[in-house]
Amino acid sequence: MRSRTRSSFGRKLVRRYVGGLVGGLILAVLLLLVVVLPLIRTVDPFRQDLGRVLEFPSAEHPFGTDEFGRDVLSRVAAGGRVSLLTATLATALGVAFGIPLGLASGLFGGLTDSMIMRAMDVMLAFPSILLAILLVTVIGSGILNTALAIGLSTIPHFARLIRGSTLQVTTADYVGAARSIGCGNLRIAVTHVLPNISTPIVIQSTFTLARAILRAGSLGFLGLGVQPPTPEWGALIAAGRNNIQDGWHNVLFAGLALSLAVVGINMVGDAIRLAVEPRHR
Amino acid sequence: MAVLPYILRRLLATLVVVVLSSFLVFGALRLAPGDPAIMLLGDFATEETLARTRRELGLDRPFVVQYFLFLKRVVRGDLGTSMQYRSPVPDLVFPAFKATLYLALPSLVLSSAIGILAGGLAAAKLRTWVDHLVSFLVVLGIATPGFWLAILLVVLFALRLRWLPSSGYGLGANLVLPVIALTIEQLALTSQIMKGSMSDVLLERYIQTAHAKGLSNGRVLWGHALRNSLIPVVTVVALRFGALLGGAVTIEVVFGWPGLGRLVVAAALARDYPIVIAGALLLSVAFVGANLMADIVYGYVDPRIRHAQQNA
Repeated sequence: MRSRTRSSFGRKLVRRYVGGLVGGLILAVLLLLVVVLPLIRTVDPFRQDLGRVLEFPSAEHPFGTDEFGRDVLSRVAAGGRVSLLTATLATALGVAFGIPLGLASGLFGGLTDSMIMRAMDVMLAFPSILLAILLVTVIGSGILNTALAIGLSTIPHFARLIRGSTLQVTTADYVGAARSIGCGNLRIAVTHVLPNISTPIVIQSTFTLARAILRAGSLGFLGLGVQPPTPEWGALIAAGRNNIQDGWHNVLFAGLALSLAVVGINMVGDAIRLAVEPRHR
Repeated sequence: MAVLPYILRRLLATLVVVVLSSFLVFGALRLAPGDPAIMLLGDFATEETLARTRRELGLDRPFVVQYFLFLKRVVRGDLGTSMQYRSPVPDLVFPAFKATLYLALPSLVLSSAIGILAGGLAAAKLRTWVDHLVSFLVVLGIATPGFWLAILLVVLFALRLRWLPSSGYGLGANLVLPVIALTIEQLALTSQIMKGSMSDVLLERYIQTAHAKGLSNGRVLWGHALRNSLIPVVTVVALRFGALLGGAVTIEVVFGWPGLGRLVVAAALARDYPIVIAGALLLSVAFVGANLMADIVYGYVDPRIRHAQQNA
């Protein structure tokens, strides 16, 4: 009996954590490829070899070569650094602006709340890719600007989430107690509310990060992200598209890397949610 | 309680959002670097002709005046002239929007139908291989960029197998690959939401009652549970309509489809303001309109929502 209980508990543990483990493993492999590998395998992602264009994968070029004979593996790795950096900056922007807006909305209520939330509605009334396209048109491309264009449309999602969580937390007794001994709004927000709503923020951040990677890829693909010859996953796919007849492996590997990054981050996000919110099973 | 005041209130809120977003678009593009007059006439135009063109385009007026003149013209149906093509904006924007809808609407219908079916099945067969398969495909689907999938589809079905055309505009075979790519991009989320909502509904008391009455599993699932499970799905589908139009941008580029997204991106790169403004406005109106429709649909479907809104 005893061993049976234990084994079913073990199975439960495996079921619960297998997603997070697989996701973490995928991310680890990807980070090895993007960050560690270029330190060991120092192949210049910009070095052209016009005698060896559009070669299929070989021992020397594990991902083959592109239309200028450049090594696709090192380009995918270098592109990954740009893509991941852009997406991380975009998510950080969403969090940095979403937290104060959501906290203010939830804590002050009234006019402040409606004004902030209506402003967020207007931002949400725009298809986010359109917002990004408009912004890039105005401020130009580049890693920082692309991150800004993507991050801007994530702000309302964070603000709404944080407002909702804040409203939930402020009904708790400890907030009432803090208020009764004369704590101000700022102190309540920072020391009482924020630590207690950090979990949903972390979860939302992982999913936002995954979406930001996809969005950065779309903008790069449209030619609105970083400009060539700087490699970036979306731009690599766009460049590979010009030679899909003979060199479709160019498109394949850049897209695979992008998808794997998104799968890995989403699986880790799901695992965190599963661990802290058992309701979601 | 009447439905009409509810609709009117939603309509008014929508109008405010549309006007505000038009101001944002207009303002943003006026702040953009690059003189449209120089873009239009080239670097070698004389100062005199530049000044005349700026006057013609109203670029010498104060910003707020420009905005109100612009609003006045839009209300009259005058969307201006494209700087690139030198033809009226509506002649370019509306056919392009129609082309986008040819992609977006079939994808919307297909992804909703398949998503509801797949999500519903996964919820009914929770923790069986059906559920695991659906979950696995959802994880993959969410992470796959539509444009990348579209290129792989082109490589396989157009270049290798030669079954379907790789690009071009048309309502027959040309439609197949872009619609498939766009559908798959939307499908994952719809089935995920449907599964979540359906599995919640299946725990309700009235489902137990239905089973206790001796109804067949199919009747309970697709008769009783389905209707209440659909409410969150309708929201997400409506909210995702914007994403669908947005996702269409990259798909349009892959297939050389003359849609609105492709037109706006090309215009943005060339700083053809009138097209960008009109295209952006049209897309946001379509997006907000879809949300409004969803709100109205709920108002009818679920009286609780109507009443909650009225009391708020």
